[in-house]
Amino acid sequence: MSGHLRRVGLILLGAGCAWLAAADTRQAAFLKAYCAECHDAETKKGDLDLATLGTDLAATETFARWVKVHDRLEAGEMPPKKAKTRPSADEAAKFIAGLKQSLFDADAKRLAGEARTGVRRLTRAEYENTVRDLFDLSGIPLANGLPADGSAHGYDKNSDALDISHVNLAKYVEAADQVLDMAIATTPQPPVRQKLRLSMGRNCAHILGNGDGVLLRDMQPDPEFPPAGEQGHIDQGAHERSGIFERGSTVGLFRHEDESFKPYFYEFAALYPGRYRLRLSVWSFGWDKGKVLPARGTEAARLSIVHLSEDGRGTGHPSDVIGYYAAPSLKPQVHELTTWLNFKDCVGFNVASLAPVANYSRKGRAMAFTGPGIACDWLDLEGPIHETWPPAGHRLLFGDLPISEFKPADHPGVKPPARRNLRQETQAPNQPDRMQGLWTVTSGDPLADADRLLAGFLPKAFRRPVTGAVRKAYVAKVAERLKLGDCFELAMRWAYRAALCSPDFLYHIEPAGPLDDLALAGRLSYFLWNSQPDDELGTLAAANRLHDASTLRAQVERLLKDPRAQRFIDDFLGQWLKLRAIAANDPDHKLYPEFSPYLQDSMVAETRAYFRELIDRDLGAPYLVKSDFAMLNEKLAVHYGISGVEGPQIRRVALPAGSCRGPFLTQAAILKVTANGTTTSPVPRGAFVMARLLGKPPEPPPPNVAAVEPDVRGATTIRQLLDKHRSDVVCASCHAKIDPPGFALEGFDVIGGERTRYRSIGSGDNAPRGAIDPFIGIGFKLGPPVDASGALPDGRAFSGIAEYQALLAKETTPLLKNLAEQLAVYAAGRPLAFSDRADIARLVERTQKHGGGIRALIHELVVNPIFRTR
Amino acid sequence: MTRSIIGVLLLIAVQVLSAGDAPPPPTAVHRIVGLCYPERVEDLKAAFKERTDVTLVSVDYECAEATLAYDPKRVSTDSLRGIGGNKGFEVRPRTTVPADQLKRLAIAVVGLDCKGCALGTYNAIARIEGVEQATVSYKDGKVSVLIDPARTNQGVLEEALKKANVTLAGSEPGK
Repeated sequence: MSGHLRRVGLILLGAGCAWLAAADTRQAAFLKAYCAECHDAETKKGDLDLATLGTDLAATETFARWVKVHDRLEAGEMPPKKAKTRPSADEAAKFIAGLKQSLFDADAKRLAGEARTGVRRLTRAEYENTVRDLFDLSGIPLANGLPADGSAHGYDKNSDALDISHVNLAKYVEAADQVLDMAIATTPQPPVRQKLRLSMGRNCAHILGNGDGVLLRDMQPDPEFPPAGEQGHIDQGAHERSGIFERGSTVGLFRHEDESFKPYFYEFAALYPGRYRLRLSVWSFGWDKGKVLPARGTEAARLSIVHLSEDGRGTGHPSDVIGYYAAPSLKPQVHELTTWLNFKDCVGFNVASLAPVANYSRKGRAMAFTGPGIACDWLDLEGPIHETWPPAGHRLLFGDLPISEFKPADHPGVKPPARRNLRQETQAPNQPDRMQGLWTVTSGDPLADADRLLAGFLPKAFRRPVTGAVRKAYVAKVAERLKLGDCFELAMRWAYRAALCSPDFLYHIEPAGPLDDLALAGRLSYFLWNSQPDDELGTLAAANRLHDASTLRAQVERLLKDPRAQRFIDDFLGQWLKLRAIAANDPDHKLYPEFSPYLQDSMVAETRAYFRELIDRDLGAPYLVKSDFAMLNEKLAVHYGISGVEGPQIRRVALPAGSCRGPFLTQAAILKVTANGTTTSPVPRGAFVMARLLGKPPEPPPPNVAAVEPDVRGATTIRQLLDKHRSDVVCASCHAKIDPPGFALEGFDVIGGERTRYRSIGSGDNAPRGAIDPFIGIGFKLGPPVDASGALPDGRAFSGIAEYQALLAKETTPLLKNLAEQLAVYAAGRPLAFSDRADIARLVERTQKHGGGIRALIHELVVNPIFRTR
Repeated sequence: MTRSIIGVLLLIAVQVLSAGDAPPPPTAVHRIVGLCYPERVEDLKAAFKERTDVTLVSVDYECAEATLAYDPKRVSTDSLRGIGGNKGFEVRPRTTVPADQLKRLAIAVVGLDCKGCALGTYNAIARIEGVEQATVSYKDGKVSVLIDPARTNQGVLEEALKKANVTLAGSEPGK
């Protein structure tokens, strides 16, 4: 216990609030004069009784209470402004400085000799990315097969969140086998590269036959298959057998993907995992009862990877969106991309920007319909693409050893590798290549080759040099398996599987104390790539050159410019701003009929693109809450009421004067993850802003206090309910801080749209359509008006979001400090302690000296002791 | 010895030469289900190209019959029946009902838009017991059927069409 607190403690521990029995009368006088009236044993406001509060700072609870005392005093919140007597600035500063020193000393003593970052394994995302990079298998799906990681201090990278059990171990063994199965070449030649032109017609026969789509040729209705009219086309099978859909006609769709309609390219389902090149030709059109007209604008088509190997919701299969592609009016646009397909993956399509339309049950079907459509000419598919054979992953494992036919007769008593009998398990017509015989890697000198191969593999997998003793242990495994009759490939698999399941691979190995260059390389790459260091980082670390300031700076720049930096952005934002929870609830369809998966994906894309922009342009902390630009596509721009943006691509858009859009604070994604799908409440939104943007997480609610539930009937506003709640003194002090940001955000609904009145499914006025697609039905009403005004705890008032943003943007240092703390916790994989505050303060100060931008912050973080020490 | 070798060589030569003169497989006339409009003849020919054990010699569209050449010992009835299955054809034995006992019916329909609809309409009636031949014209809205009156009648056919969502002229759309 420090001298300062010991003296104060003596005062406090004097019999029954005997403040005067003090060794340090000056400190005692401060507490007696300014604190004792409210925080004595009798009153103990805020549940703080200074008379009984211990002074043993080694006790966690006591330490935390004194930190709180310190923070409230330092923030000027205590003594309260309405107090009869308040200390002078000098008095307060001296007391705070003394208390701070005591707390710092105690914290430093507690942590002395402890490694600050606990021993931690790779997260699921880190594991998957590491394997993908190590073996050049850029789409191998592993993360979802592993048990979910926990979360501690806001992130999954902390050792407290990364427990390990027998389940993890069993899954690691499975995953290792999956990796080796995919990496090892089992044929002397690569799989035949397919080149197919896929048409959607055959897969949409029932839709075309009933008027939710049309067959087109030369941008006109196909005379061989007129649009469905009064009767519709009968007998789908007969149409398929007649060959009508195999003539390469374009398919124009009006109908969205739904439970009974999956517009997928079922004519191809991948048999060989790998990279595939896709070329998609799409355009949009207007349809008027049989006539093709110019479209209302550029529409958006979605491509996705559909995993036919898994079951999804309803009648579908799970899928991952590849992207959204522009479909210009009456002008076919070809989009080319390369993606990874796994076994039984096919390519899915959707008319993403169109409203859900169903003509099949309407009189006259397509011949009576007027509205927008998206046309798909074809999808060209080429793959699997192998630039080299055997592929890189195989060469990492087996170098250039020959792949030869294994004839059991030539190897009596030797166990051959097991090969899966590959067959097409879907209805797709593509079939496996014809392959005769069993092929495997062969070695003329197995143990020498094992030693050589493991000498190359282990340092790459373990991300550091490997001693001869460790390598020999793995070679011994190979020798053991060879002795038991395994062929060379099987014996080597044992060693590789053991390596992939070993702590050397699964854990971040860092020395306690200052990081050496190898550990620094790992920390850097897992921070900015969420994956293993590449060869360049590894080489610099091995040469002990990485810690050099200019080298490190150059490497940070290189890592940030690399496409792999997107993994950092996705992973960090997924946790910092809770983007992982974007689909946690579906907005009520009656209240928010304009919501769509396309809008949701655009929301996430906006937040990611905005963070990328802040890094790329090194923009400062005020941009977290206020901006003069936004990252938008047409879908979001319409949602936000901003004109002049066309197409699905996210791009930087200068905002009109007075617009509140742009920053995280008012992004639809953030507004959605802080709402429940039906209603908004200032409390969770306020708490989110406090914790995630301002770095001042509110106290958890006291027990036995009922939550404030919004009135979905629209009779009472949330503000009225909260006013009642705040009349309770116990609730009022916290809500005075939590509610203001939430009130400022009351002008935004659950999907981030601006509102001046609450939507209601009960009583209210008829709602104008506004920017909602004319093909979407509206059933909600407009209820009570929104009041987005409020006042900060210090009394500064705001009338709505714009004024609140202006107030918040002035808080440059707290905003930057919070982001620094968030990044530090994420990058170092540990919580911040009281004794880290000085390092954080230095980090913020140095960043501000370099312009205060976020790129500068990242550069400063990687040289800060928090990052550079374990 | 030399004579025997020459004898063997001659025997081989005779056999090789005589192989080129092997008798063609026997032909037979079959009823073809699936010939609902004239263009289907080409589809039928394409379907037979995929078979090496059966040759399509000729097609009589009007009678919905085809002359096939195959070795009955090597090609089973089932195998023959499934020919061109994915194109909607079926090979059946030739009808045994004398032509003068058959009756041709014409049923007017509406709403058929394309060849696929014509095939769908045809499929609704072509396999009904007593239907010996049928054609459908989606352009004329006409279903022409040759039936054995002893085994079926117009009422049965119209019911089958309605069940398949084909709208008969003068009635309301079924779907």
